[in-house]
Amino acid sequence: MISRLRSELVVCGLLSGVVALFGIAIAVSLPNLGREPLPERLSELIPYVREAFLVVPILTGIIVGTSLTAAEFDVGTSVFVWSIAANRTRWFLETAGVGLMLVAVCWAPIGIAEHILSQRLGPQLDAQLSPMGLDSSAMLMLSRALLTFAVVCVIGMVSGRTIPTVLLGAIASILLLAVLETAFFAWRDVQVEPVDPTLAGTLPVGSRVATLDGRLVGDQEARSALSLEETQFVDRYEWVLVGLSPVAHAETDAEEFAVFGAATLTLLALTSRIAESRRP
Amino acid sequence: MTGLRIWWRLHRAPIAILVVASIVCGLFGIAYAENIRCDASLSATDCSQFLIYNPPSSIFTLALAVLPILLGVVLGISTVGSELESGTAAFAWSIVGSRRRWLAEQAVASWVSILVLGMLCGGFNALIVAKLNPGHNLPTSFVGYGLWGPILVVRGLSAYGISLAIGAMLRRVTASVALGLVLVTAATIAALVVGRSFETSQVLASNDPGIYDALGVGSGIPGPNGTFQTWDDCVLTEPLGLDGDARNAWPLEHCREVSSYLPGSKMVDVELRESAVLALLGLLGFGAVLALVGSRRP
Repeated sequence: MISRLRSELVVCGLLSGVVALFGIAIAVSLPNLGREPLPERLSELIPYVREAFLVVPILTGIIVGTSLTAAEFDVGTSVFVWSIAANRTRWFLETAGVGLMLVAVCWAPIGIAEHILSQRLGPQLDAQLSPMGLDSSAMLMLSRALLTFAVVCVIGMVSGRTIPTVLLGAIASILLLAVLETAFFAWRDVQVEPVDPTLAGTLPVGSRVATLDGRLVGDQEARSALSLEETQFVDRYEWVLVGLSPVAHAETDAEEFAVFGAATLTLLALTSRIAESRRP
Repeated sequence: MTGLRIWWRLHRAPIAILVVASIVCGLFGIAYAENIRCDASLSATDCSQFLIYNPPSSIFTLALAVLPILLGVVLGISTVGSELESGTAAFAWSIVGSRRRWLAEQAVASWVSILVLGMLCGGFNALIVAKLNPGHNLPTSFVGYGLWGPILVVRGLSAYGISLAIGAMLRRVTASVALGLVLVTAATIAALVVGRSFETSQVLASNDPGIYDALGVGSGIPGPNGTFQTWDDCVLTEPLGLDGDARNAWPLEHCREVSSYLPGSKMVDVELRESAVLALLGLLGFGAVLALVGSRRP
């Protein structure tokens, strides 16, 4: 199976490796910043690198998922493969296992690069340079890619056509990820508290208006506070950086990973059911 | 006519998916742009920034700008790459009079579909960008640059030429899609850079009304030879003998950061240059496949 996918693996692996090397090169070239702000050129470049970190594993999930399902039907090899397999469920479990492993292998260089980059930059990375405000921890990148793989497997098994699977898989994955991430954003918003951005593991998510004794104010009160004259505002309120403390961040990451994992397994089980009843 | 019918049967699914996606994005984008309003507390400038950069409209306009490129990639790859992967090239090439003519017929049908989708997306985006940016004359403004108009057609056609070559060389559809997306993205970015590289930028004051139609290309502290310099380099040029208030005031006056822009009147030139680069890359890809199809074993 792996030798059949060598072109896909070479392309996705090379892509992942190049992007990861670029990220590592930036991390290594960074001076010891401490609390200093990032140099302007790097602060412009890093968001693009992190967008690539986010996109490449998802693209890998789409490509591997399509190759293992839709391409089998499109090229006509499914008839032969299913005739020699003990049963289709077992065939799909093996196929999905290999697919998940290949996605993880292609993600690994990016995961390492993200880890090195976050070690060098600390909370500054998430405070200022996170694409679309997404939590870019390495494990969440992997779980998004695995979920994409599962979505594409369902579509590939139903459609049996390579190009439509790539397109529909990309659209469906983006929509599903958008829904889940929006829910996570809302969940994270409920939990935010004033944070110390210098603590490792903190996830800063923005600034909020707080009273001078540190109480975060609600939307209604914030709106009326912002309509005050500047001198009146500073007498009663201040802007504070809010986010998740290291403990809360680790907990929400684990929860998000669990939700992505559950969704992935559900979709793979659904694909297995479809494979049982589908004509080759 | 038979060739066209076969072409349509082979490619109707991706075309239909992308046309439906563009209509959905276009209608939602226009409805959103029609109904979005600024909060009364925002100034005119803040309102204009809010309208341009609010996430839903950015997502719709970006999706519409990407769809013609995506169609170019999938049609390019499936034209030759898919035939070679599934083994149907041997039959298809055996019944046509000339392989090059077969490729030309396939390419013309693909070009027409990319042209239609590109114009549809370009038209939708022109409406959305115009609604979100009232008071701007779009053809002489960099507002929404690259999101609307004929450049979307050129990007799609260029993506088709590049992907055609990748598909014919790799002979694997899924691997070609991944590589095609990467190379087409790189080509699009390179063309964007080349498009604006040969224009002379101007420094505009922050209260200049032309700034809202201009394209920011850099910022920094003006140096003696017309280039930008760092704050430290600027401070080093401080004349000797200053003291007290004069010494404090000198860098504030002489080391002020300015921004340089391409004025909106240059938009058409930049877009034409970008289009020329994309067309060249697309033609190179198409030429390579024309040579390859004529000489290779099916």
